[in-house]
Amino acid sequence: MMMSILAPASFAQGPTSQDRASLLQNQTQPPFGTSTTSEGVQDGHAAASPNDADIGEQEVLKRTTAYQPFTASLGCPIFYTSNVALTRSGEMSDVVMAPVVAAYYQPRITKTLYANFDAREQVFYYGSNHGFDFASLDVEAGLTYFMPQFHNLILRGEYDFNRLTLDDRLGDEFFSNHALIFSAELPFRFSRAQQLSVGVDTNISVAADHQSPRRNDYEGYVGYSVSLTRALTINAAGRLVARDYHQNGRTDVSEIISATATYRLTNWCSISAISSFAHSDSNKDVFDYTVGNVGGAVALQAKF
Amino acid sequence: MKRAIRNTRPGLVWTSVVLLSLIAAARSTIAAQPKEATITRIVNDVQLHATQTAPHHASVDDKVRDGSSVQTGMDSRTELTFADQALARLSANTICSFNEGTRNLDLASGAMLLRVAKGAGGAKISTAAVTAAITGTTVIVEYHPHAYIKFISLEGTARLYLKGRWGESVLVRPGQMLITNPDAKSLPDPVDVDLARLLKTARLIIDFPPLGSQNLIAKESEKQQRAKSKRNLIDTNLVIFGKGTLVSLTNPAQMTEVSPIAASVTPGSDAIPSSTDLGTIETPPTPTGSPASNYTADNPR
Repeated sequence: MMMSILAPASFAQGPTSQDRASLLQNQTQPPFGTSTTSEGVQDGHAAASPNDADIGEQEVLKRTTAYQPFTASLGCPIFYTSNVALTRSGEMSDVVMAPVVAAYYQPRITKTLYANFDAREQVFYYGSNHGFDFASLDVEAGLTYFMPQFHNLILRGEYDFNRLTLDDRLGDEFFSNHALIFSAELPFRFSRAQQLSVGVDTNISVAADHQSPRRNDYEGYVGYSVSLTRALTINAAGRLVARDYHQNGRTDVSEIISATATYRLTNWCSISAISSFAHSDSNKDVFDYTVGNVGGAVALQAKF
Repeated sequence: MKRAIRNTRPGLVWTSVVLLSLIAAARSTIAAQPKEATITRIVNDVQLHATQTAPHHASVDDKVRDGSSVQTGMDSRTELTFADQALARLSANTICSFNEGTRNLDLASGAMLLRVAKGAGGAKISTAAVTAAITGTTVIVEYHPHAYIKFISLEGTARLYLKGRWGESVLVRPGQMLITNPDAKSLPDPVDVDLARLLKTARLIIDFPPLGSQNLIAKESEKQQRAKSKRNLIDTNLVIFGKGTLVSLTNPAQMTEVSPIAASVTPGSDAIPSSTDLGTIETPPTPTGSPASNYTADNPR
């Protein structure tokens, strides 16, 4: 390229001059590149030399990744829980299988603003305490706004409808709740493999059927994620949640720590080891409890 | 009986000695294999810096032993073939030393093509700050201290990582190129480059005999062409002609050299371009909730 740009200047010299120059240059140039800087670099670029074509021409291609707004997922965690009924005393342990199916639709409105609509149904089956079996349906709609100019802050606001039913009669509702959820999350990326996130989350119940379980949640959390290999990721999180019940003046404060190791078998299938520990203190002592969960999960996910 | 034993003993001893010698010889051959390379091609001036001898002009069939380094002059190139059929082609003005054979290539400055066959074990290409780990891969690396490192994978996937920065690693897949400042604290995303064009113009390929991985590279190039025909990859008019980081804006009507991509680097950086500045790789956000939104840890009841 440089040669072609400089070429017109040498036409006036004639072929004889060119031959002479070529001959003399070959004879007089030191063999090990003293015409360039000692490192072969000028202004941060490789110094022009007759060998520029050694590694070929690199034409940049633009990859067009079509945005896939739909996600469908299916998961099945199975875990041991130390306190089935979340009681202060007389704790009973059990094994829980909690298959979950979910569908997400996240259309992109602008580069930094996304809408999200999702529905999740999860059923909790207890190994021996079948009386506790139940199902939980969540339907959510909201907006997610990314603020790259403010340390990649993520703001979310959404409406959530939650409905608890008996496991074998999904139409048999025993609690329903309408809530507004607002959250802010600030990620700190240390490297490509490590990220720390801090966030706050509020879940305000605006209406519920059955008032006694109705509550507002106020949560702060710290999460850490590290990818040990291209397939293995470990997540750990610590959460502090204040639960303010609408009736009876009850307020609980829960401390929850959780750790998950996920191994991605394929782009659409992963297996996980899951664990969590929660301790809850209530101003009504009867609602205090401590619970530990440990187990594993299989998850399938497809984006389209 | 004793006589018989006496008669057989020397035979047994000699047989044992011969067997042990053969085993030892075989073992030393195996051990020596990856620790030695042979210069199989020389274009112009190539110098060999052996550990215990003065630097001298290399010639074809010279052995490059562990700890030695090879230096090419202007308009010079060389090819080294290792015992395990790994192959290194050095560009002009390149200095590269070899430790533990192909297992650790220390590129002090310059450019090289390296091919390590599948099953031949992994190899590392080390520069002062960035290391590339490759297995069953053909790559081109260009490095100039305090300036930039350029890494292109022709076939196979390589992992690049920054020394002393745990977790800072990037996979460079076939047909991708990564350019970074050796003093960078983080690695940029790689960009795609047109393999077909590179293969037609790289003198480290066209001026030498076909590579053992030629078919694999051709397959990767075909994949790119298919992606192009599906419009998953789109040609741009941004081209780096050979070594360096100078991006030229090409146009059929007008070929204009634009200012280096360094100009677009964020103020405050070292004004050394990275592959991030060459193109955009769109990474749409995934539907993640809070980090604690995995599976319900606390019974919602």
